[in-house]
Amino acid sequence: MDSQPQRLLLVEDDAELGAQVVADLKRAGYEVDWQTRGTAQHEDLGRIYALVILDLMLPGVHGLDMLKQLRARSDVPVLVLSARNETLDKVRALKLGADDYMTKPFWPDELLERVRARLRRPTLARDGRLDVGRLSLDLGARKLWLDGREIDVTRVEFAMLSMLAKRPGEAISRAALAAEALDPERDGTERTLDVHVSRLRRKLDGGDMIATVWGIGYRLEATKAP
Amino acid sequence: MSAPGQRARLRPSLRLRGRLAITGLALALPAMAAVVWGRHQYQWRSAQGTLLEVARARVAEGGRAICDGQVREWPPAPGEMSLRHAGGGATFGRLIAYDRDGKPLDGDGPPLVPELENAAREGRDGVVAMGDFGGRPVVQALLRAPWSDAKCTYLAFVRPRPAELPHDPWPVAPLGGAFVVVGLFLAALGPVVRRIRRLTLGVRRSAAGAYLVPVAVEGRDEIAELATAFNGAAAEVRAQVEAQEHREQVLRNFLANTTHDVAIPLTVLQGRLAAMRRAQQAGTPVEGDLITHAIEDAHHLGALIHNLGAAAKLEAGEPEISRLPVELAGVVRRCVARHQPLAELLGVDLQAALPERALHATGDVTLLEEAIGNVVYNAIHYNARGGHVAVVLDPLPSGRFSITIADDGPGLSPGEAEHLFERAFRGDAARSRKPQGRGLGLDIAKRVADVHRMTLTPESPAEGGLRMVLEGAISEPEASDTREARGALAS
Repeated sequence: MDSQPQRLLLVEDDAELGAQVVADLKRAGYEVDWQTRGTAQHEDLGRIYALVILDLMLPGVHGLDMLKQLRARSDVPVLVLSARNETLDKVRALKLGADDYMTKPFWPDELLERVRARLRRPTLARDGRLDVGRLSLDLGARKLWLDGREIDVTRVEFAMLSMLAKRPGEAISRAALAAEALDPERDGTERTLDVHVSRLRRKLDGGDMIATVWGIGYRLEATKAP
Repeated sequence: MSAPGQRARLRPSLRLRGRLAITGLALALPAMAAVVWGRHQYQWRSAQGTLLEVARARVAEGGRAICDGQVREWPPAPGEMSLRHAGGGATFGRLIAYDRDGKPLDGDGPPLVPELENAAREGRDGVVAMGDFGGRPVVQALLRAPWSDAKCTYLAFVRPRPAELPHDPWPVAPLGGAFVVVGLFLAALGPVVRRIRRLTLGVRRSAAGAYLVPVAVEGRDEIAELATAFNGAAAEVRAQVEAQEHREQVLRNFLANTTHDVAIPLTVLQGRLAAMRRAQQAGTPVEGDLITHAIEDAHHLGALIHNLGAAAKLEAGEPEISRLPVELAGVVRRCVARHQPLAELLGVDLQAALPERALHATGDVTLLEEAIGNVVYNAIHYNARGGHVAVVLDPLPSGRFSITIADDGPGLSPGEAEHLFERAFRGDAARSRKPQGRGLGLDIAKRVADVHRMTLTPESPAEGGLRMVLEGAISEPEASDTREARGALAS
């Protein structure tokens, strides 16, 4: 987790719901600004906020208009909250540039999970370096560092790890990993995947950074300590 | 005096007859007039030729003496100009001499009719006209005197007008005949009009009786075809009304059952909340199970509300169901996120795996989310603490995709698979909340799959648990729909 708390903007007119969401987000470690009216957007909110949570039925500027204006100036992720469960509303919001939407009623945990998922993007530098938690990968030179210490990995291990690191926190199926990392001629089939993962785990301080996911495959727990 | 309703019923037939009468007369009268006028013209021209021949013969026989005033043929003896006394003969009639202005040389001679007098002044020869001499209808033929040294310039041959040559070319009798023919035609139309009237009454009765009674079909003509066509249309209306009534009945049943479904967990929830309040008031700790069950009840209520909307949409059918590109990873991601709190509450591990490449299908995103959400809900709800649920979206060969929802719960007992998708919400609503009756949610999931031409298949793996596999066709998204794909990949 970054030491600096991430700042979020909540636009929600309902006082009770807004207060509840703000409290939940603060409890989860985020810094939250809350506005209760839709307002015209003239600046790049992406410079200030890591994420915007936007209700649609707002006094002042309608949520969809606000989204449109906001998207014209910024790439900041937008999570839309809507009381309406109409398909066309969802499609319209997504077409206007929303990254995700949630319909009311929802559970606070679900909202937090979505916010986390939205903010969990790995940062891919221009030179092909991928930083995920304690790991750093150079995708071009095929090199791996753990806490700044270079680790020696095989071709298959690096291919698997880079696939997991591109989508940290997400489960990747065994079939997808095998298709990406294994050459059937040289490395065997999906059954040998467990052996490669086991070796890789040992190289990564033997910790549970790579979690087994029941029924699916593996997941990189980027923020877990070894 | 007839009732207003009767008058209204009679008016259309009278209007029909009136139109037919006007049409008949409009066609018959000019036709009759043309026939009468043609016949008259023919008779008149024949008579003119005959008269001129007779007149020339008479002029040749003794015309010179008359022209010079040696013989007077006018006035005739009383009754002589009557056809009854004429006795026939080619030369029957009288010759009278006239000067070049058409004036009689003999002062007692009758004047020429104006038409012949004009002809005389114009120097014409062989002109025939009808006229009236002393109250008697006559025909006159004007001939130029063939002698240059005679006293007269013209000789007129006068004889009574034959009866077959009426002076008025528009006799009343043929016109009356035309009216009679049209009248008879209209009278003959009576049975047809009465049949139309019966058909009209039949249609009105049928409409008043919700089209349950068909109208009588008489004969095999066009009116019978009309009656048959009406019965066909009535059957179609009946079918539509029945379908509508069926839909309304389904909706009523659904609402009644859903009300029941909502009322029970709400009552249970109220009970749990009351128990918590009692514990709080008594200063005793609230049991953890109580809170867990209360939250589970709230989850159940939320799922029911979502299903109510989905079922209403399915009952309404097209065009309520939208057909737009749907990014499938986003659907899976949202379904998993929505159910994550419930999974954590029940101690079930819920995970999803999505392909790197964005996959799209055409359909209604709300319904698809509802369908997958229902299957995920069941997989969590019927699992045990410590169990697992995995949702995997995979591209398949030949342009298809699969979404597999696998769990390591109790699975299906033998024989349960074929009853898995039976509609439970119309019957015993309570079944839908019990493990043996996964009815409401899975019924909606199956119907959503059907309307999207997808398949939803239960599989029982050898290692236990249940796998529900939704399969469908991949479609190409529009350029403007790529943001959702971007969002899904970035999550």
